[in-house]
Amino acid sequence: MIYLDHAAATPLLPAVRIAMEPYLSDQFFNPSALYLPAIRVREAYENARQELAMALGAKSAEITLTAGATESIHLAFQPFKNVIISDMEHPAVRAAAAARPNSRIVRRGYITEAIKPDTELISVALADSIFGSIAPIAKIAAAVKTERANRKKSGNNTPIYLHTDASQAPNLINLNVARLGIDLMTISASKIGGPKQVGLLYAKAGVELTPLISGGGQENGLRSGTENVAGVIGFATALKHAQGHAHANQKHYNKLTDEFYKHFHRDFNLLDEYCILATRTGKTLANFITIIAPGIDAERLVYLLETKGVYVATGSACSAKNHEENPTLKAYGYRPEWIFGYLRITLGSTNTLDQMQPAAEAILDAIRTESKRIPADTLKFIQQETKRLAIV
Amino acid sequence: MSGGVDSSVSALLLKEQGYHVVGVYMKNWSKSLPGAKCPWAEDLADSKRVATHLGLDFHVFDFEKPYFDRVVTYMIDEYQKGHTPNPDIWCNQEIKFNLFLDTCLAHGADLIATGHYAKTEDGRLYRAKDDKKDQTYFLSRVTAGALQKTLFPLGDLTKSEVKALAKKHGLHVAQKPESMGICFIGEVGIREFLSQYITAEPGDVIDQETNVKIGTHDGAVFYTIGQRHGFHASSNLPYYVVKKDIKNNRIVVSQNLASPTLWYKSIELRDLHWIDDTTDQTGQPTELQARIRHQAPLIPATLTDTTLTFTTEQRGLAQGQTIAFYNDGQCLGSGIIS
Repeated sequence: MIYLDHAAATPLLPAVRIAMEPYLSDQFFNPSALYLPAIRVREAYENARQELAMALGAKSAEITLTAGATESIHLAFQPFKNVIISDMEHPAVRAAAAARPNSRIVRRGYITEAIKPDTELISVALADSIFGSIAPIAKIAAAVKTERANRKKSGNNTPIYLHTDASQAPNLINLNVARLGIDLMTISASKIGGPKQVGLLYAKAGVELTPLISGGGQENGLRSGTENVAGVIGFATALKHAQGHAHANQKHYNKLTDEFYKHFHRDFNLLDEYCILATRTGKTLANFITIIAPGIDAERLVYLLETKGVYVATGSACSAKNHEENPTLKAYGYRPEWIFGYLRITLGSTNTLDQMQPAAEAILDAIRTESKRIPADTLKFIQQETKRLAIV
Repeated sequence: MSGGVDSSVSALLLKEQGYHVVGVYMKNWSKSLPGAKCPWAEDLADSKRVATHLGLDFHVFDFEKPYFDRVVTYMIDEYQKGHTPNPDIWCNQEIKFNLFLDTCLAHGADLIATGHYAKTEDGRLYRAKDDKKDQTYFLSRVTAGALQKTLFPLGDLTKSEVKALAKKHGLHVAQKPESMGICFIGEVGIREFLSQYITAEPGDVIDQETNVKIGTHDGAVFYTIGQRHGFHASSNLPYYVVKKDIKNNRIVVSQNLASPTLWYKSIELRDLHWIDDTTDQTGQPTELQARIRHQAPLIPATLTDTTLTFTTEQRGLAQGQTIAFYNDGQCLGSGIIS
């Protein structure tokens, strides 16, 4: 098996499993109970929160644990009326924004120019899940800071905050909140070797959140429901590991992608230069490789590759089944022929250097097979367009 | 290709026989109903995956509107009249062997093929080798012209042979369970479906023997003659629906399986359809065998004009139901109980 879809899901890291195990069996106590064994569990849980906070350069009180990134995002958006999101956001951010009374979607590059006096929240993914494109978050944060200062001067009391969905980033980007300059940040455990359905929302002290779920008052009243003790402890281990290895991962994935491209490029001319590698600009996450094979139905590539034990994605995993054009790709101005030919490779913990050649060859092989189905007139059009676009 | 094992193996066999095969998914219905998610996206993915693995071109025909107009509307109308229609038969008559066929021919196809268990030759329809799976009942309103353009690759195979072939060729649908419920909706009962389109009021359940109200029902349109369950009668003994009074929203039931209203020796038919379209000139057969529902045994019967007389009395006949005609191995056509 060559698994190339780490942006969708990752296997538990061995250390994460080990850290979680006691809390799935012996240490099962409800952290809210009064007896000592339960208090030990509470301590372990709070310790994990502390570790998560430290990994981000934040305070414990600024961390709210949630059941995954989607909930974290909705929790971040809940208090606000006027929000702006970039055109490269995950469906969870799009949905959270759409649920607010007044929301706008703006080109990522122009998002700060869209700020209005009543704008309360801006949300930009640290790295999007389609291309792994890294946002200029510090620049956006600086603009938000300037806006805040201007509002103070002009007596406008409306607060303005910057939220980032960092779900794809922890393995490669330093998430120190001060360095990023953000006010709210979403992270998911399942993308970094942690368990599924565990996530967090960082909210800078002073940002007032409103709960989505009420009940027993856990998570400082922001997220009721018995704590996912094992999950959160696993999450802490995973996030520490991700942040601690970010530099090494960068080098490792660069090496793997170099190897992949070496074998992909070698055969590239066989395809009459019609196939596009959409990224490799240095501004994307090192573990993302995007291939666009215009005129080809990438879903068929997935089905062909699965027979060889090579697993890749089309679109973001959540939208792959909706049979609609991916909005981010559409936002990039891609025509349908290009959008449906989008293939995403995301490297991760399961990958090794010697997998890259067979992976590249299998993908080329599948593209070659499927390219024979492209009608002649479509192919001609695509070749002309590709020469014009030539992003390689 | 529906995403099931039958149409998948059909495509596989045709490819092996050297045909240039193109896979098509017909999107007839995509709406989920309360308590039942419509599985169309999964079925489409399954059929596309099989087509890809077999190296076939693949298309999706969006027939949602014509399917609704020609099949679903008919079905709802029939139920509202208190009849018991068969949407599968109507789908074959109106969509698969009509609109689908025409669309395929317009796309340049020479022939169409489906995963039905049936056989065809020279525009005639014959029962499948696998008697338990034989689907000619559902095909009894198809025309000879359509059959001349049709292949049924599974006609000489049993279901278990088909499953074994799928497994042998690594088709992932080999283990896929048969779809239940209404074909196009998935795992949902007719009542849940009809509730979306018909406003039904609770009504009285009357005992045929005593003429006394013994309970209530959810709406007379939901019941079928001969049906045993589904109403709140205050007795533990089973009752059978023997009559539906749609106008007064009443159901008449009986505990007597021998109730004469349940048994018919002779019935009136409408909309007779003969697969061989020269039958009108040559005269329709008088002695034939009738099948009153899918998988029911063939019963010798005499057809005089539109009156069908069975050799023995039959139970569970409802207006709107299709009676298919056979001459041993051959399916000749069908009529609708009027």
